[in-house]
Amino acid sequence: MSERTSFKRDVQGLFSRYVTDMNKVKLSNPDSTGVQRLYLNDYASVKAFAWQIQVAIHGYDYDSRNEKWLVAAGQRLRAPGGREGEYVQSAPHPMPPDGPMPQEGIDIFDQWIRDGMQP
Amino acid sequence: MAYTGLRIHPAIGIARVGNSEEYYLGPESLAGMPLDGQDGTGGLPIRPGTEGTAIASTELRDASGKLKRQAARFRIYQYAFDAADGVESYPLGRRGAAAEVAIGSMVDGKVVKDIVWTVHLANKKANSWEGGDGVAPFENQRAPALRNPHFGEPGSPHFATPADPLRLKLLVIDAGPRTVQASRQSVQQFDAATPPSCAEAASGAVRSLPDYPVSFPRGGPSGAPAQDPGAVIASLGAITTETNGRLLVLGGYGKACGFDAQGNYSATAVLDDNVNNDNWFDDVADGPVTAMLLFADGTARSVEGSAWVVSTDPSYAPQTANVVSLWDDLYCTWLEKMALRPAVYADGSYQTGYRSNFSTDVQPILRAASLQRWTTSLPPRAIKEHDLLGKMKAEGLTYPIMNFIRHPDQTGAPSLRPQMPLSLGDAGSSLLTLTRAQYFFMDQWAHGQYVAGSGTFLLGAGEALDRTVLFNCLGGRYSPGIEMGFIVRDPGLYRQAWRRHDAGGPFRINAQHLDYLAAVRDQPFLGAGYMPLRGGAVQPGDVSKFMALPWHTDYNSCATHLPDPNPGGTVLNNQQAIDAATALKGNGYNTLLYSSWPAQRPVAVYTYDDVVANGGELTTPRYSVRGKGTRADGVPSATPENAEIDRPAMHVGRYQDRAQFLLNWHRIGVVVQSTAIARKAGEKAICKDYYLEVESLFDSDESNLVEYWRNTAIDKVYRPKPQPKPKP
Repeated sequence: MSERTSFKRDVQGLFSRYVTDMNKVKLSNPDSTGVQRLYLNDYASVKAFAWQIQVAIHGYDYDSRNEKWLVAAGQRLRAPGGREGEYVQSAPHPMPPDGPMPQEGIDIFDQWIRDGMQP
Repeated sequence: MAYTGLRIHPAIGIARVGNSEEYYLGPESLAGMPLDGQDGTGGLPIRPGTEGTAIASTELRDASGKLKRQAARFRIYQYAFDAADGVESYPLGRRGAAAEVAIGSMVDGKVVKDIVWTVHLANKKANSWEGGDGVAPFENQRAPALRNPHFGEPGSPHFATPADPLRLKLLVIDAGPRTVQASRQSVQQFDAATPPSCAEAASGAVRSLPDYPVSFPRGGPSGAPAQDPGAVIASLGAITTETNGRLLVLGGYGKACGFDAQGNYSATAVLDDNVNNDNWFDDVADGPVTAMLLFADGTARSVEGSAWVVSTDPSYAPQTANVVSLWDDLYCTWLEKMALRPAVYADGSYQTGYRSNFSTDVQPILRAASLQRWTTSLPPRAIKEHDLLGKMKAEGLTYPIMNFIRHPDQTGAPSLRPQMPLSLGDAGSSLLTLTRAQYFFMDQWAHGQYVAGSGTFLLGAGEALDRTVLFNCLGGRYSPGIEMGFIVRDPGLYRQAWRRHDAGGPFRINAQHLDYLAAVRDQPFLGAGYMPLRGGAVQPGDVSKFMALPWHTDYNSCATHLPDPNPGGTVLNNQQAIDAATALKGNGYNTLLYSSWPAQRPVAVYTYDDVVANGGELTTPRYSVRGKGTRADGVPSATPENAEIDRPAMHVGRYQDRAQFLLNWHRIGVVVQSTAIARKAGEKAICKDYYLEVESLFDSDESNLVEYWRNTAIDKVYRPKPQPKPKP
């Protein structure tokens, strides 16, 4: 992508179909006290839970049963504080629950985070 | 005094266009419904020359890959009644002891030597009113705007009406009547080269009508290939007979052609609407089907129960039942307006003492719901629930199912809980509902008022054909529909005096008596004809004239849409409006997309090739319409910001340029049960409960990735997965 991604233009449409189901879900937010609802159509909410979302949508990257990666190294989620080549291998709740998002959508979300999560 | 009634069945038959000269017979079993002792369900077309042998997937196209036409098969039954003026009831079931009349049969002690069939096909779409808004524009003595309003004779008293003489001359395709004598096994084409003919009323002798004013689209560029989809229309189909005397009616070739301001062929006419395109013809048609029996003693007798044939779009998912079918709307109309079954409906209300027949009143709705997964993409949880419905026994209901079914009178705002059917509603209604009769039957069942089997609803063979043929057609959403539109709910469409045995039975179109001997050369024979809610007799071409012109553009567009009216109002095409509609506490504007007619116009399908490549397991579905030019992402939108929302997700699964559909409609694959799929050598058997697309001529997927509902107008749109490489 040549220009920086934005929530309105690039991210909102990735999650629009999941909004209704996910806004019933309360998540623990380490940056606040207690739990909050996740609103996938709201910039502030997605920004606040960006890491949890990223882990969830990368939850299908690794096939633990067969112990093999299903996506290229460049498309995996780097483990927090990890060294080069260390990736998140599992998610408590891979999302969407019925199978992975198209890789293009995951790539867009990752890029949005790298771009500084613009509104 | 004993009376032998003669009736043609089905009362309304359905032929379908195809670009092949070859044909199969229309299905005579209920789409998707179990068949005794068979793994395969009903709805498959029938192999010509057989009583009921279902075709295999390899018989959908001819050897050159062209899509076969569907012939409508008609037959005659005789009924033994006590008296001609005896009171008819429905269903007759075994009463009347219906028996088919074939060549060699005995009727009233006389041997049938021959059967003379007459069919008259016409297409009045271009001389009709703009369609798509249902019956409402015809209420209160009003009428919608005319199609092709610029055609007319200003000096005529009928100017600006469908009776305008210039409009009748230039805008009506009238092939005229054709008669076939069953014993001769001939084929009569509905083209300009074949002279019209009719049967003489007294003798049944076939009479040529050289002066009949046959009318086809005028002129074509010299040297233009006659078989091109956009080539000038030269035929509305054909009729022929089976050896036993049954009639076969073939539809046209799926052509559409444009014309200019003088009514002459034009290759440059514009398709700028989904439903109403001025300066266009297509080659579907409809008209009456009548018959005479010729006896060995030289006498003849007319069959009083005449029928009607409608030719229409191809059937791309013949075994996938509609939740609301054309039959359901016709049946509901006849219950409520024509006193069809007072035990069910009388004195203005459904009878609470009636016990639903599970297998005929309820199970088809449940089965149809479960089949939707094969033609539209549902989320796994919904598929699981639908599958349970499809397998449910009469006594198997364990939860308040009516809480999940939309009431027929509540068509607007969505409920907090998902309500069924989950597809778009009729003209003027946001979302689909069952008919009032279907809702009543379900409600009775849900409250324990049912019998496990068919109960008292036992149909005779002819009656079963009446029901089956229309059960396999689209109902519920007539904007404008596929085979027939909203007029199926107009009691004025039908012959009213049906309750005498000699009146021909129920569901008969109120056909105008046509005196063909009065036809005058160069003077249009057909007039304005039937108008909804006004009564009046029905002419050839009057039944199909309310459908889209050409049908192709409507079929193409009817993948997924926002509801109309959209609950909450119209979302505008700007980020501010989208933000407002999707905000935390939203403004109530809906952005969810729903399927139009998924069972009749497949949206998303599982392809047989994908399933084979995936080891026999289901994988991601594909759009049924996925040729080059169907990709929705990256197509620039010219819709201004203050107009209705227009985003790529609203255009998936169709050609972005309507004209492209005219060139490619015959390439669309057909969804059939795996039991009907002819496997190639080495291919494993696929689960018998799968309904998969076969015979698609799209050799690559040029559309978008199918994602399951909930689909919204603002969804990101992705490229599809690659198609599996064909095996060497």
